[in-house]
Amino acid sequence: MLSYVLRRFLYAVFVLFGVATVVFFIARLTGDPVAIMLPPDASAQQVEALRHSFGLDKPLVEQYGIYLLHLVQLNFGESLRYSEPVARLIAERLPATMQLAGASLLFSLIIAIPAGIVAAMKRGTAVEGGVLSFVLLGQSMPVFWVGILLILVFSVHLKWFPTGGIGGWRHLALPAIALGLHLMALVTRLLRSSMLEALGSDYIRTARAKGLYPRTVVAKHALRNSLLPVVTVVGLEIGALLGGSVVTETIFAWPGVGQLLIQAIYNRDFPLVQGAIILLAGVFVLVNLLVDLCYMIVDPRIQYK
Amino acid sequence: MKKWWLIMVALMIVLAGCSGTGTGSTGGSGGTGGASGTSGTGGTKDGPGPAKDALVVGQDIDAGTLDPQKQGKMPDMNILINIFDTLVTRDADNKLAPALATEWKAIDDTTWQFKLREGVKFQDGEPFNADVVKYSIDRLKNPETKSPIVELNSVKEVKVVDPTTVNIITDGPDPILPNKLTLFGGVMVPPNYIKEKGDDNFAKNPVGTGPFKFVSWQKDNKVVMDANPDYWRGAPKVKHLTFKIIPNAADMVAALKTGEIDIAAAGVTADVADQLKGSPDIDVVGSPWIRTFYVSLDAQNGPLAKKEVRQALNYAVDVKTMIDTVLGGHASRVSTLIPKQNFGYDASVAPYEYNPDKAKQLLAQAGYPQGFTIQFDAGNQDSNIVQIISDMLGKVGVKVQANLVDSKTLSANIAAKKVAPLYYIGNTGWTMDAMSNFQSYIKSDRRYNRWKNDEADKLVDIEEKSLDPKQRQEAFTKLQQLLKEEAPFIYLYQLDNLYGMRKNVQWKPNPIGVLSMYNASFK
Repeated sequence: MLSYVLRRFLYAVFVLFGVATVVFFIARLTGDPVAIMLPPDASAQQVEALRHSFGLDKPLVEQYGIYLLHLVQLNFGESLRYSEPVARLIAERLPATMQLAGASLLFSLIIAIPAGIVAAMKRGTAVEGGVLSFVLLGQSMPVFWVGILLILVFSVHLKWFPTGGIGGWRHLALPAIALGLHLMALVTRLLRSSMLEALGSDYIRTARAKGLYPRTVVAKHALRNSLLPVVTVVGLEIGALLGGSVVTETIFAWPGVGQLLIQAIYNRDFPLVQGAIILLAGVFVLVNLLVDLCYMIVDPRIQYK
Repeated sequence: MKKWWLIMVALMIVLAGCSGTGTGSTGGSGGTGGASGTSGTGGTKDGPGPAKDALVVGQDIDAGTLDPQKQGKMPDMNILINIFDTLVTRDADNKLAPALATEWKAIDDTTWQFKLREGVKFQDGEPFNADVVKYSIDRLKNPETKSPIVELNSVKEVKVVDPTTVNIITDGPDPILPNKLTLFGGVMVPPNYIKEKGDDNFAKNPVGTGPFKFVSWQKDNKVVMDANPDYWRGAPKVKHLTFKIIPNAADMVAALKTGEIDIAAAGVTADVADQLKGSPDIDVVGSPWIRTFYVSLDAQNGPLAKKEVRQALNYAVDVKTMIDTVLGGHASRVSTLIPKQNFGYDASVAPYEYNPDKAKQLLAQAGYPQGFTIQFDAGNQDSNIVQIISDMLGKVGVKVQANLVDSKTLSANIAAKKVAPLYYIGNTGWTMDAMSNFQSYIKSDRRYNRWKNDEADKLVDIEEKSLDPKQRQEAFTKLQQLLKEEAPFIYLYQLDNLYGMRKNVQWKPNPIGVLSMYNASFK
């Protein structure tokens, strides 16, 4: 078990090294940050001077070497636009992004798990049809459209929620729904189909035959066995939630890592783009690992060596 | 089962209907009834909401830093101009006016002398004097500051004459130094506070001499300020000022409708303005803006190297129709690169008329009777403009292949000289002197130059180095005549700045577009 985790960590380091390299070179293909920072009236000397002070005049290989050396020391450098350490800028924004991702995860699971169970149990009825069409709707609407729709209906017309920004739970509600809708749909469908499979299996028939309460049969026997694929998907989707929050954060003026990243890309703020991408990749890798470890809890038959 | 489907479809139609009235209707019954009772509902629970003494301004981009010397962009300046003062400012008629400096004059070719206002204090009590001016400009010019502010590159030295007098010495003559001190480079910062607290802390807790005191900043969310009761001009009319950052234009309009913001300073394009017209509690305020737009032509390569071809392109574009249609009338025609409000503008240089026949004739004369194919780069927010220009050029036989990229990629490509023979761009000469409009384009050694002309080089030298306004105006007039004749650009228009404002707000925009809220109030 321990050696498995260690091995996975080693892989993770390789993955992150690859990400760090790719983002370094791709960012530099997109243009010169100094050209964007300085107004058109800047003279060539001024451009050179600022480029020099950012270390952007050094040969690319040398810049890459310095960057890797700093990365090993967990130093992500200083943002060009904010002139602040990248790690601090990201750390400032991370709570907002986590809050949004957490809230949308909660929202999607609270709806999806009961909906998935009900749809499986009421197979072939209008209830299943209703749930499935609602789910289809949730899955087929893009987040930027849902976001603007929610703002128009619930903020502008009904005035229940503010149009954007961060604050209390009222600020959180709409972006969490917009961001969580897709995951909700996915989990509902997945849970429904794996529940159907479980409900048709021999051990459920046995459980029913020995006279267990229907509730116990569903909750303890069928649901637990149906959760494995759900855990996998939810785990992978947490990464997508963090990544997908780039769009949601922009629509709802939510000051998280997503908005930071977008602005960093617009401004060719290389150190910040690198830091944010490495962080997102790191979260993805970490969540993957946690998902694999979670299998052991959900399904005791799985063991890692 | 079938019934459920029907219900779902009905629900979807209802939802779609809601969105339709929201964006589309201008005075529709459904939306307006609710909207009239808004004031105070939207955001009262989060800090200073839209109460009568708290003004909330919506802007699409946040400041990168609140250190006024480490920023060089309008969104940053818009916020900071409320906390800080500059040496020189502009009055209601856009003329240069005293601020922290009370008077100024050029005492010789390379020395500008500024008399300073007495009795001004920073918000932490530190006095403002000649040492502050020297410190501020020295700090700006220090390479360690890594300032993106470039216009004070002519300044060699600041000499303190006495506590209320400074001499700013320039390398060569700089006729518009006072203009340059109205924004970015003219901001005065507190020496002792910065020395005590350090640069980092200053960038997060700025202290200035301005009308509002900094309270808090949550990046990409809001900057909160309180009125400075001891402001040297008198306290501002509103007690609290908040800049709320709303990147998405649709969200900006929604926030304006609900009253969460009082002024939408971005996102109000011509089509949004149309939607807002007739709204019971929102005014759309258009104000002339000095941002001019044009298509830069690569006059050194290919067909565009011929003057007749460049003139033909100017005759081929029907700018008036563009203004009346895609721009909703919110723009005015300019004959070259200079907006009407800037020093140097000469009304006697008439804009090109729309004359497609003449365009075809000139193309034939230049040896292109069948036209030619050419690349056209532009920012993706201007796709409709590019479309209409391409279409008009197509009518005289010039086939345009348009490439739309995001605006920052476009600027990076322009600077790297990896840009198409045609590109659409705007420029704000915020010094309100034509020198700024010409600076990076006209003289052959400048960064964005794509047209070499000896006479133009000579004329630029005169307007940039002479301290005599008459001589400068003559050079500008000749330059405009030359630019029209040589046509190294397709000249278009200067846009209006459009703001969405709640009807109870009183605020007058200025042509530079800077969001100084000192005079803003509620009716």
